[in-house]
Amino acid sequence: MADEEDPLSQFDISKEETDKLVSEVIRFILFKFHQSSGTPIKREDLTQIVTKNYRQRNLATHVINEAKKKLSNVFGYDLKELQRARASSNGQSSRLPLSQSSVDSKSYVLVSELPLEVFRKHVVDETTSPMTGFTFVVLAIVQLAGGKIPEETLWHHLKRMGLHESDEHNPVFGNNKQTLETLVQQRYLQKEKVSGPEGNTLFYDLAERALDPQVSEKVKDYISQILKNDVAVVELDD
Amino acid sequence: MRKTVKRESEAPGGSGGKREADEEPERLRSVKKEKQRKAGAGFVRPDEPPPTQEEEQGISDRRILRSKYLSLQNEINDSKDDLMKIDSDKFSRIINEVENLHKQVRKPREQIADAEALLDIANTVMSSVKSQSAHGVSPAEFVNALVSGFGQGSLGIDTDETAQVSLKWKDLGFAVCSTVLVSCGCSTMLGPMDTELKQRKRAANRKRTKPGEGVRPDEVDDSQSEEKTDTDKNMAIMFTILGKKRRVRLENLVLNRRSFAQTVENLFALSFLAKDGRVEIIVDKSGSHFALPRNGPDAILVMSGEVIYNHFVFRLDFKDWKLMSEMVPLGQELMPHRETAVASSSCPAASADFTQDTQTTPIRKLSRNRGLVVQEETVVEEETVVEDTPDTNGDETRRRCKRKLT
Repeated sequence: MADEEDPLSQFDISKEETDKLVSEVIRFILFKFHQSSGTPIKREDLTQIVTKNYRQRNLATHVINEAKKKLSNVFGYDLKELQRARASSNGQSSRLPLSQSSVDSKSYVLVSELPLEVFRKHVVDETTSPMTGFTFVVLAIVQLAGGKIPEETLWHHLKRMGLHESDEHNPVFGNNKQTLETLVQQRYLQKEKVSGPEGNTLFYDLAERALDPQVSEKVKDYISQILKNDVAVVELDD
Repeated sequence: MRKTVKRESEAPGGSGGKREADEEPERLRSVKKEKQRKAGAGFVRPDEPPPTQEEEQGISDRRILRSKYLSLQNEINDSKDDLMKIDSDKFSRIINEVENLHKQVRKPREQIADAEALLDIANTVMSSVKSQSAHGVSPAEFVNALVSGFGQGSLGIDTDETAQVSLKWKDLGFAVCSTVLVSCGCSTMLGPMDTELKQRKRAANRKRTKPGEGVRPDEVDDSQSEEKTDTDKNMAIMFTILGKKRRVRLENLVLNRRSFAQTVENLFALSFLAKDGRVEIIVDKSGSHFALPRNGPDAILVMSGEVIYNHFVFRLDFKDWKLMSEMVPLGQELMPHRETAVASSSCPAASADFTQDTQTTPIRKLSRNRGLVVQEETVVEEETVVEDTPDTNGDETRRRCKRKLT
């Protein structure tokens, strides 16, 4: 098979070595992703595993692609690549040359590939559902507000649902502020400080993970579902 | 006049932000036109300044006006969510209120409050329009739907405040669970397979020793501190030389041809002798310095104050030493050369004859040429000491020594 010969001919290393590298990368991804509770894994970390011992160019890319295939075949995970496009309105990101920004800022997340029913039946467990709900609600609010929302407004809405900004002992989430921070760490949201005439306001806007079409479509679907349900409930009452 | 200026500055900001919305600019423009008309009316009477009217608007009136503006601002904040509802007349009410208050404004402070109120309402409407144009649903409506769909009833006991609602997060999470919203991972054992459980170390009790007799260290023989310092020795040598020769040239007395360092030490010793009054330094007609010995003054004389210290500065540096060594004929130096215990590491450790006039401490130096060199006796080659002097480091330290003389 052409794949098997490739490492030898291209990079001058044996198949066993490539396999070993691939397995190391996979192991790293699996455990790091779980350990960091969903924070995307930087591409640099992955390439470091390869370049620690080997010098060939493009070997890292090849290894990562192999790892992606294996993760999908063996574990049913899709290794999604996210590009950290920091296109802020100030245009500050334009200082970075394009090549550098594209190389440095790729990160990876794992997304399950299971069909929804199977996922719901076997994988989802009660301890993680609240977080899912929270993620969805915050993303929905930010999306409906036009992709960008000032911090106060977001907390205003969350308060109406029972989550206060200063509450550190919420029975479901613990520290509410920290839960929101988790979303920022997971790259669903990003913070942006805007200096206005009254002083600095902190804006939350959708980060690369949430701008992914898969995610935004899903969020929209669920929003319309909920609104439909609500309307249905109202109609029933009438 | 003031009014027109203010409105013009307000207008570009107001209308500029409204390009997206359709209804908004019209409302604002109508408001603006009304104001301009009024300003125009005000413009008719330029020559009738109403000072009495202005004076009448006292401080309390202005305070009331400002507080009304503040309450209006709060109202705008609170009604953010319902401002754009079709069936709500809140917007028109607020705008009318702003207009009414505006008529009473006379001074800049209230003008600012007025402008802020307009800005607030413009911002509120703009943000709600933005969200409407994007999705047709405002976040507030969405939250309402969520609460009605998943709300769990009130937790709060106060009936005055709005009922506290908590969402059923688990159910919500389950309803929206999608593979993209959940971060997965292997929550398996994280760590190598062959870790063994560490046994706890048994706490070992320290043996308690009973307090016994104390330790009595040997008393060190302290007679070493009474030994004479080098300077004292030099002074003694110098005094005996002076005693023998009676009248000597200063250069001959002080110079050590082979070592600048020792020259300075000689000068140092001479200065102590001069301080004690045991040497007399004079200058003769030809400008040369001579040193003569004499007895030091009695203690009584010093106590009574007849004998006092005077200062003078003797400057000696490396160049002077070189000059001196040229001036003094060979063999005329009077002070003996002192062999020292320091050996330079660059020379091989060849043991030659050594003279010791001081107690040497054993020196362990790492020789660069060979391995560890242990020197417990003075090892000096004739040449090494001379090398000591021309390097700049020696200069620095000697210079420091020299300063002590002044």
